[in-house]
Amino acid sequence: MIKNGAARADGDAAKVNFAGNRLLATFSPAERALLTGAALPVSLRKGEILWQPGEAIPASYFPCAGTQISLAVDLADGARVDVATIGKEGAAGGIVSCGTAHAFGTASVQVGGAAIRVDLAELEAAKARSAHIKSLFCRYSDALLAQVMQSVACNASHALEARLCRWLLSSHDRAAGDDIPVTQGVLAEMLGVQRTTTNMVLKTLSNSGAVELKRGTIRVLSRATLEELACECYRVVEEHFARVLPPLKPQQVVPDDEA
Amino acid sequence: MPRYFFHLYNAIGITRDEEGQELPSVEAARASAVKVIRDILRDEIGSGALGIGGRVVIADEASAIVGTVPFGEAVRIDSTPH
Ligand SMILES: [Zn+2]
Repeated sequence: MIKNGAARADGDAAKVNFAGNRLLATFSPAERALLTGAALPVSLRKGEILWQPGEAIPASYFPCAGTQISLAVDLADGARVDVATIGKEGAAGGIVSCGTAHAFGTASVQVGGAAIRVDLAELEAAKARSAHIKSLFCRYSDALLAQVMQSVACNASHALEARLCRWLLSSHDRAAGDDIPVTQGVLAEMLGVQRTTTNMVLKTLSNSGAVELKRGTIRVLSRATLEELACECYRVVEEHFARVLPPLKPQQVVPDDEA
Repeated sequence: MPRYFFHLYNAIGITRDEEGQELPSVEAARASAVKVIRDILRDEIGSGALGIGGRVVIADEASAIVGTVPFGEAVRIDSTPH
């Protein structure tokens, strides 16, 4: 297990690509200035554990590009159940608790890549000084809770194939292209089943032409098929995010290499 | 730890395991195969179907078969009339 709550800084604070994350992209230049020195570009590695239950959370992580962080609950029998996957549309760490955070679950990196790390105390200070930032994080908390609520219902009631399609659709939204870099082991953990069970569901999706399987990568071939097979949970959460969070111009979130 | 591969034979065909999984013993691998079968049956029964004719074939790193777990062995079905 890789364990490094602090993550590695990739560059200097002056080069933070605020436009790479949907929440940070809405900050005005003055609001960005409030985070000078507190926001750092970092590179998250797949499998990296950002925090575990009981630990104090030092920072919020804002995924950019295709980076995905999983929030999960560990059960006594060793099973880990994913309750939310967070990509460039959101942030993980101290969001709902507003800064005084002792982790309840485990946050791990599902898909590695770029992120922006913001010191929690500094983020709280910025909220106190900007009505937009304060309101944005209140609304995002609501959206994140909605995502978790839908996950609870989904895990309890929906079939594996539908749940897997739901996850593939959200990941496809966050990915730069059609390839989702994820291993069967990570997927199995996310779905709370054995790896071989996940393989079987992926095989049926591959047989129907929805995806192409490569080692460590799932390529989306037919989004329409995935939408047909997914449960309503994908669409319902998307719609709630669109209602609750400020509208975003299509080009506002840009990949890191174009910033 | 030895690596075991779990090849699944059921109604959708053969799902080969290319990655494998490190486990301490053949017994642990059999226990893992039972979990796979229960995962599949749990999911199936939600849609009102139950295919009990499949099997999980366990192979070692040399591709030698070290065990087979029929689906029927993973669950105890009691059809006594009550
Ligand atoms: Zn669902």
